[in-house]
Amino acid sequence: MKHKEIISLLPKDLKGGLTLLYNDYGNQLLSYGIQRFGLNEDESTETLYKTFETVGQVVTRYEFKSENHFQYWLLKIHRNNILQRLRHRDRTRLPVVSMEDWIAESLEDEDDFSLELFAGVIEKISVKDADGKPAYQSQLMFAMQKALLLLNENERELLLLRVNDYSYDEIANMLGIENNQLKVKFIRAKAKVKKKTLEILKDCLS
Amino acid sequence: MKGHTHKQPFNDLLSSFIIDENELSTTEANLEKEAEIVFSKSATVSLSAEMAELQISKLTEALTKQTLGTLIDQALATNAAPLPNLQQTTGLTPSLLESIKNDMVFTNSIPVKSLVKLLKLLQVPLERAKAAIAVTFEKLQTESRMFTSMPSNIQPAFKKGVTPGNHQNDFKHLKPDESYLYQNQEALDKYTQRLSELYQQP
Repeated sequence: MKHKEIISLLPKDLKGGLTLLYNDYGNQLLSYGIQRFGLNEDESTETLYKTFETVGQVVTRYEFKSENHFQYWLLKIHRNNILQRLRHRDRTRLPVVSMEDWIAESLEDEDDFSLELFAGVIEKISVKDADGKPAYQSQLMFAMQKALLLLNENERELLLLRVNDYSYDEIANMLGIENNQLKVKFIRAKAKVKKKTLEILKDCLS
Repeated sequence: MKGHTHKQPFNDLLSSFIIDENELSTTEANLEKEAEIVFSKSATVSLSAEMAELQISKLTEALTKQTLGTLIDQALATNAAPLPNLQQTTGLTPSLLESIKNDMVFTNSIPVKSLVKLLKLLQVPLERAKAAIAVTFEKLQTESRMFTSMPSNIQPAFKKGVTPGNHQNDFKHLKPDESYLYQNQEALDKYTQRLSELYQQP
């Protein structure tokens, strides 16, 4: 098991242990940040450093049930670091988008409802406050959280994993289901959540 | 969550939701599968050999900084003169001393007078002790964050011989939810200030 070799080497030969850590897991974690979260190469490289710093600080105190357990733990640390970075970087990121952008996305998604009903809401949520932050950020997140409750567990997983650019085959594998019309199910789930989110916001902001 | 060539307002909102709420997956079993997928696929990007070397060197330097545990452990091992009964002299119980040596305890939860006695007894210079305390603090904070952000089934078990709970009997007066009182930088700064004052007293 790769991780055992690393853990036993680190106290005796730190540099050797770190080299093994980079060789065995570095590039996959680097790719994960770029591919799944849209980090650029520099950001992903810096996040990788932070992850391995955490690993180096604590890993020799622990033992893992299996290689899978170690990988799972490692990925969780890395993902937390990525999300922390994105939260910091994207604090003011929610873009000001026009109604045209919403309509273009809606056409692409083949939504079965008209966005005209929500024109007022869309205009409001594009507003930024004096600090440049989205003025209705908390209401948006609240509405989305509520809207996601409309979905069953698999639909919700499908939606969130697809947003993270996992392929339908990978999602089917993760969820332990067949890739049976997952694309259709994704489109429906997304439309359902989109419509409900906008409905909640309409009530909330009116 | 990749950057799209055109604006996708709702997709962006979903991405923000995932980032803000740490909501990629609701079940941990799926995360385990995700790890399997991530590590079974070939990487699409590679770190250049120079960058990898640079990072490894920086990390090696960062991780070799002395912690309070390693400092005390080394001082105990290299101390030429026979040491008196440490518990009697410093008031530190053997289990607490063991926890200090293993960096299993936030330094500012150690009785400050006892720590000063230990440092003086081992002739550890104050500045080295303060630097090591800062490293230990960072290490334990990292660990604390790691545990609070992880579901219990991912958390690894402490190795045999590494027993974080050993010193707990020495802190019966502290309730678990009082940890925030000392696991923060401000509390540590006050502690090290007091430690310096006491250390410099004759």
